[in-house]
Amino acid sequence: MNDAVSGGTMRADLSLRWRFARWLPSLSLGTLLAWLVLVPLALVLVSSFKPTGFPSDPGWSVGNYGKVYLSAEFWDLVGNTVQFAIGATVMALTLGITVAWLVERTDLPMKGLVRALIILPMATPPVLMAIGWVMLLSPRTGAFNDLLQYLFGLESAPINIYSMGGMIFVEGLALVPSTFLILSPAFRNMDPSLEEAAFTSGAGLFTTIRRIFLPLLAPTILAAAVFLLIVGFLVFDIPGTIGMPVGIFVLSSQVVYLANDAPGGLPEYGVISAMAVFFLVIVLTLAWSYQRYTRISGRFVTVTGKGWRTRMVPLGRWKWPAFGIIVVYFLLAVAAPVAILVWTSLMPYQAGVSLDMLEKATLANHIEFFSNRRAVQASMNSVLIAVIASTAVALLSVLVSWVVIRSKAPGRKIIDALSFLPIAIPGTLIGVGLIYVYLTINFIPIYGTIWIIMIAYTTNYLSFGSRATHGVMIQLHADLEDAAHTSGAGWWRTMRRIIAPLAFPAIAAVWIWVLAHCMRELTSALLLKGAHNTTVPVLLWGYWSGGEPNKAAAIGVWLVFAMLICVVGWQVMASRSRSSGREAL
Amino acid sequence: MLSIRNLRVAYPVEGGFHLAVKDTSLEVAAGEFFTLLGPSGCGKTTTLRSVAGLETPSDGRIDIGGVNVFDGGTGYVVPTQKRNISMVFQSYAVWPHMTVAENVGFPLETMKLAKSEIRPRVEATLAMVGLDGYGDRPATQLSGGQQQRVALARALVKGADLLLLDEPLSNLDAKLREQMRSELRSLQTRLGQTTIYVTHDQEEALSLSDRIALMDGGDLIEVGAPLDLYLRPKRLFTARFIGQAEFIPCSGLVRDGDLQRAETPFGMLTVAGSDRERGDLLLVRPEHIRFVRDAAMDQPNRIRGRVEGATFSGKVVEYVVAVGDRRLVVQAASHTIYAPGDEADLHIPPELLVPMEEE
Repeated sequence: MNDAVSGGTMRADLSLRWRFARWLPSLSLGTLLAWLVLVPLALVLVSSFKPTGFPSDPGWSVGNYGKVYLSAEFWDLVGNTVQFAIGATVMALTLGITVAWLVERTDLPMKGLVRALIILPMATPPVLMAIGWVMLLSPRTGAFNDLLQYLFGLESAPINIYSMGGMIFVEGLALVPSTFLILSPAFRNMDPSLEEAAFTSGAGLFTTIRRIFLPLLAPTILAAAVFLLIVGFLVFDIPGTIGMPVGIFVLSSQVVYLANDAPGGLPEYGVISAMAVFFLVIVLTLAWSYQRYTRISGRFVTVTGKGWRTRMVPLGRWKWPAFGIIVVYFLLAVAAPVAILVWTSLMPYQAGVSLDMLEKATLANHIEFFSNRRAVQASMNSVLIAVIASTAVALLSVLVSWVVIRSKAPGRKIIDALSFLPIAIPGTLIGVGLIYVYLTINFIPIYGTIWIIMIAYTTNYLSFGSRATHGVMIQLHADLEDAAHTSGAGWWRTMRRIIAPLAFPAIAAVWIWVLAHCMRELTSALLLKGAHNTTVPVLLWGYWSGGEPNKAAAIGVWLVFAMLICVVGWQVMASRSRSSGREAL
Repeated sequence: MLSIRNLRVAYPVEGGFHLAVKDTSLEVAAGEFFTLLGPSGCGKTTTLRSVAGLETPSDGRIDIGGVNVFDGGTGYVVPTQKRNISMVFQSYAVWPHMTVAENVGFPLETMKLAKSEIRPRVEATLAMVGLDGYGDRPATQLSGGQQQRVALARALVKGADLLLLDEPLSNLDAKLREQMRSELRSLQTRLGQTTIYVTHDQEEALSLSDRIALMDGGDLIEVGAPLDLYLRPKRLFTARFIGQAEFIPCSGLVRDGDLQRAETPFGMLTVAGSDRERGDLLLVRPEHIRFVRDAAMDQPNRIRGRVEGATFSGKVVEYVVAVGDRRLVVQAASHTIYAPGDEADLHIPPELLVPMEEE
């Protein structure tokens, strides 16, 4: 059966034009991706071996590595980072799995509302969630601490947010929406007959969950876990907001600290690069295992042209307690921090929540935000950057997935790897890398403009986008596309009429995810900031770290408001485009 | 209508290439119902997909209706959508985001027809496959059999010259499969479209086809009309794959006018109406062996044996009959009753013995 004919003899002697056409997709995409991904990384690597830390400066040295890796301080930093990442992952995963299962596989009441409640925290940028929780749980002025002290007659504040536990708690809350978004398609698409087979074999609900549901979804869950670990390892906003003021550093906040507030004045780029290389090694390892798990999980879940209706597990009397979990999550992740933000934004100075203070409420901070030219400029920057970057990511992702999963173009594995690599590049690293690139290549004069931030975001979120669209492409049976070709449709029409509409919910999800993340991203924007490209989060960060929490809170309220509009608008668009698709004929 | 010459399809595997199709040539006449039959992995689907342009062969030449669509020599490839074909997939591939009418109308849409032209043609085609009135249903709310009909309507609607069917009935249950089979055949006869049909089900192939090409391991084994392949196969593989086969070893095929005589373990057997002069095996189909009782003791090809076992399966009873130290499988209509241990006289009609050569 398996006649392997030695290479070469059977090679088709196809024309040059044909061969070029075969290479075209991978060559053009590959060049673009290499520019976005490889060049910044290469320059970071070069910089780490330069005595001055600047890629175009002369001389080579390993001094930076000695300075970083031989200090005990650095390894304390690593310990902190690991603790933080694992803690946040465990918390987000526990909540995320529970919620995804409840929403996708049970008869939980009011699912539309529940979905909204889970996705909504995406509208609160992590930096704001952190600020909100600091305002609630700070040992000196925290409103929630005040309340507990009053209720139980305590001498001192019972909870201190300025701790590793506090950082983990807020990060865990912040990661739940992403966890839910990663898990829920897999939960939804699992063939229900696999579960039903367990029920008919005599297994009860909990046995079925434990023995069938979780093992089948194990690769997906592991993939999510690795993804969360990576994020926990890289993230700056929350450890930066909560930990930095009291000297609890993780790797990323250390990098930002060295770049922006270095003790010596000038940023120590060499040391930053040497540290970033450590990042890269750890995260690349994680990323590699993530890719393995996602590949395995793809094997389990497939959708063909035949549809099925997912069977919902009846919760019975657990219905309302389950609903309660979601409400509590929503209170912690959104309602409480946003409420305190609103309160603080109305106050002339930082103070506890009380009736007395209510009389002093003022709109001054909000008026200041709308009349300040810098603030208006920052808002426009943010919107422009977010819209262009998310569109670029969505388009690139679909193209990448199509080439990688569907086409037989040679070199598609390289495309796959290149599009995935950015997951291993933290916002800090891409920021530093792009500084090097566009300071070295100064004939592309985008250093200090919004374009450099857009490039950073496009690169940064490409791995998320392409993974999401990969999943869709895998699940779309190849016959659906082939059937379009045999019906007479060319590449473009097939993309437009078959692939795009079938993948639309996923592509829209990618777009909104990236949009929301661009609007709230702080790290890269902070590193790449110049005179004219301040974004809203950077402005907010400036007020917060400059000791003006009330102004920061006012900006925060409007940022949340803008993100809310995004999320709602997206929902409306999505449902409208679905219904118009029906009227095409 | 369709001409395939020296087709080769190679997949890269570790250490070289795997040949899914090896040097296959076929000619299919206009209006013919032509079936590619074979076990899974024989290359039938690959051949079909090469005709559709969904696979790019490594070598050979394919012409559809006199138009060259692939030439391995020059590397000329016509993309799928520019070929005069339509296709039905095993998985149906009904687009779940469209209604029935949108699915069926899609090929017309690609021809840039106006909506006012599309609608009546879609309705006529839906009526043809028995789905009138289903146009506005979402495609996902149909049963398997109905989705199958949608897929078929989508393939018929633009009236392509060549209709390709890739195991279209294999996902249906037995009853529905039989019904669709006869509908498919009568539709094809009525429309006169040249049809290439891929299946691993021999019964389907025999009942539907004008001609069958039997494939195995990437090789084309034999091409012929169903009756010829069944009654006068040229190759042992054909005899074994299509229907059941009993082989009786023989030596010294001696011609005597229209008859031939051969020495076998069951004695001298007579073969009638064969033009094959050589053979070391005689093929007989189990249902062609007859049980006889006393009468006409002088007729040729009578064998005495003892019934060893019987399996009843509705239409037929299958007996294993021991003759000396050999066994013969005999199928008889269900009213023939023998019990294990019974003595039985068997008769093989001379015209149903086929001399074949060991390969």
